[in-house]
Amino acid sequence: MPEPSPTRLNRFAARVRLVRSWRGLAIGACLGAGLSALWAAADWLGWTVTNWAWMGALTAGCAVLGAVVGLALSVSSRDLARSIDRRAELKDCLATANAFAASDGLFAESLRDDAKRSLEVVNPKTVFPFRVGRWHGGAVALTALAATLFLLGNTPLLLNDEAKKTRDELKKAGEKVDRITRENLDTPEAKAEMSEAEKRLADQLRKFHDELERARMPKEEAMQKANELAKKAEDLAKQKAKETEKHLDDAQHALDKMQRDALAKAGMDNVDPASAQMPPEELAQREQQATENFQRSQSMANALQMQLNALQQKLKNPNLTAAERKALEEQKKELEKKLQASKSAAERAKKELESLKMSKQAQEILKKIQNNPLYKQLQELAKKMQKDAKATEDHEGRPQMSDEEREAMEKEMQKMLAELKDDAAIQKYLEEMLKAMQSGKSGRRSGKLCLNLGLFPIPGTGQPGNGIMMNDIGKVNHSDKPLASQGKTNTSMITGNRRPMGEETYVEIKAPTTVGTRSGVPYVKVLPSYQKKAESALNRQEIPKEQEKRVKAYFDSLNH
Amino acid sequence: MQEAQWFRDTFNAVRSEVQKAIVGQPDIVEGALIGLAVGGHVLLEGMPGLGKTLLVRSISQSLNMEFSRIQFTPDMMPADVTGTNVLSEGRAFEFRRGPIFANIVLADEINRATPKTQSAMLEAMQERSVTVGGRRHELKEPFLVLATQNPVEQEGTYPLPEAQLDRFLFKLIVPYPSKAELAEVVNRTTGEASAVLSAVAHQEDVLQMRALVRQVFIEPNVLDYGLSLIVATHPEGAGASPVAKRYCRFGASPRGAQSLVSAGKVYALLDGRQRVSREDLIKAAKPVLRHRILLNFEAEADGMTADKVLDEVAAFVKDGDRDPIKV
Repeated sequence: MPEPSPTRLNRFAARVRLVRSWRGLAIGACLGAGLSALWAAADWLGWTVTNWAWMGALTAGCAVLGAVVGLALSVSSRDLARSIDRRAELKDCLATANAFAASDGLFAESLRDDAKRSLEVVNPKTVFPFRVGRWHGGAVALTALAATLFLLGNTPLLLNDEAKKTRDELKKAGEKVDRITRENLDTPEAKAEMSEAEKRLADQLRKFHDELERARMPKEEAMQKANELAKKAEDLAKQKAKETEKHLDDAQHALDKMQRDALAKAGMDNVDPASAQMPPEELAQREQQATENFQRSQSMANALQMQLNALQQKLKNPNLTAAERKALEEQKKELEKKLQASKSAAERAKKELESLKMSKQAQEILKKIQNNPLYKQLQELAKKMQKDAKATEDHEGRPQMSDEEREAMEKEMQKMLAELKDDAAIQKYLEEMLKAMQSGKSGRRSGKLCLNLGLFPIPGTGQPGNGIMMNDIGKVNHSDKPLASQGKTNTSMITGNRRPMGEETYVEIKAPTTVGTRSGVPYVKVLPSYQKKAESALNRQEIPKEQEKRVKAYFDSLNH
Repeated sequence: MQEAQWFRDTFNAVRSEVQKAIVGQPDIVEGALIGLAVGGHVLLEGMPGLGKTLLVRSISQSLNMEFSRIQFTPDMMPADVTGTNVLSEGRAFEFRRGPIFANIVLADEINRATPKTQSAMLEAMQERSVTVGGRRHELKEPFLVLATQNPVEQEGTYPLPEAQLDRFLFKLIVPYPSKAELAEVVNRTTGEASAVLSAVAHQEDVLQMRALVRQVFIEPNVLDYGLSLIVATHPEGAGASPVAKRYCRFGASPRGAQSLVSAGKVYALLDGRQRVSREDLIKAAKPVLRHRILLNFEAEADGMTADKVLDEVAAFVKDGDRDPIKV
């Protein structure tokens, strides 16, 4: 006997899958919401970070997964028949028909008919309805719990004034980090040029921004993280500066080679391009000097020759005694030595003279190259880049050229590269210059990040640079010297009477300096010398002890 | 299908006929007839005067079958039940059949007989034969023992041993009639004419009914449900119910399982089905199992009866029987 109405059972199976999917959705949502609640709790405790979107995605993801699993699970016809029997109160009609499908007993036929009739009156939707069960309730409850935990963890209502203030500061710092990241690393140009290290740094900055945005981390930690990131940016900037310098060196070598090649072409292989580039005044001076040297050596040689000839005449006299002859012989030897030295000097001077003359000719040749306005421009650019790189390494100085200028120059070089593609030397030179420029840009980006993140305080202001400003930090990162000495002097006003020569009323205001423009020198570098000067001034002048103490306290406050 | 309908019609016809004489007691009548349809003996327990003997006589009249009644007393001997060899006129021993040689035997107050006599009944009930003088005598088919016992007046009685109780398919508790039923009883028995019963079925019909019962299907899972009911009464078993662990000394025997399924099959046919359902087994559980479980002292102390225990056992098994598809 075949199974009772397989097609009808298939309808039930499809329905079961759908209802299972509905239940799986609830179970998945329950699980996801439970995990989200744990996540929110961990977020509240500060163990991890989350937000609405992530929690929602987790819950929805688990719910969808549950629904898919529910839909994919197979339904056995035996279980299906038993379940329909129970739900439709068919008194084991379908299950028995299913179990004895192959039986040919006395009641087999009527059993099958009975099953068919039963199935005809049973509606799958009635038997397996969509229900809102415990899992659904649990999912809603857990979602509410997760939302509550998240809200409680993030609401400022439960915070005291100080914590609220801290939170505001962290949020502001977060905005700043966001702005820094967007301005420096999120531009299309920066994205296109960023190295892997920069990308990693950008990711870390975004994460840091998220953490600050949530304002859940302690200020000290935020500061420390800012410093760590600034340190990374600094290292990156230094690395890029070194790369720039290397590329500039390579470019210079390529340029030298190009000039040597030009000289070789003119048959002046031996001419040093460096001498060929000597200024005309120096060249004339050296020529004159060489001429004088030559003439002096020449006249000296002539005089010595004459003396030698006279001596030889004397030696031809047969009446000379042995002693006289010996003395004359020695004299002759001496003269010959001197003559030889003079001749050598004259020869050297002559050669130098010739070389300088050739340098003149070489200058003429190189002038053609150097008079090219682009050459001058490139040389100028190399110098600026060199200075920039140096400044980046030392964290001082202003950029030698604006970004617009760099961009224009880069385009120009790209164009030249295309035009002069047959000249290998120029290609090499321009390529290295371009690389140097790229490294320089990257270095500048990292340098900006470094400055803006506040690792390096602005001299004289006692505050971190343009970077993340937070009041009343409490602790600072002592692992880093510059940070350890950031200005924290409290503003105070002292009034009193000074009596060096009669009385004088004075008002002394002790506060972090707010005047002055940005300096390229970190104030920690100049602080010791300023302190020394102040101490020597104190020693030299008659200053009341009270005031001495005040000066000392001022410097101590800057140092700590 | 026609056979099932015939079964139901025949059963109902006999029941209707018996009900002409018996007022009320529908479950008792049905139980006794189920015993007939299955081929299982029935133990009726009730106070005197509740119509037990009348019931048995009415059934035999309705089926046109031979009926005998044995009134058990302590001095009754096995031969009084089975029959004995007597010396005939021809100077030879001749077996004279006892009252057991009938289709329907009413063993009245069976607990008043001595164990020796009861054991004679035991063989007859189980083997459907008696052995006298080394010779085996087959009993008539269909053969049905309807035994009665009085729950009071226990003095001078010999309670049936568990082995003998296990031979009974059902143990039916005959209740007192309601006031209306009582009025009807009085009217019927004190009036002018009493009901005259006619035979609506015959021996062959009973045998055919028994054959049909065996054709009824029982799905493996339903069977498992029935077996769970049995196992749940075993206090030491793995599937024991908490109530059995607490109150039962011994649970139902394998014969209990057979009886449960057989009775379930009859209930199914009576309901117009050719398959046993869980409901049939639950319905059969009490009459089949109430005399097969042996309660301990704690049960007696707590006022627990076998029926109460079985109710809890059924609830326990029902709880364990879950929908295979959770949605």
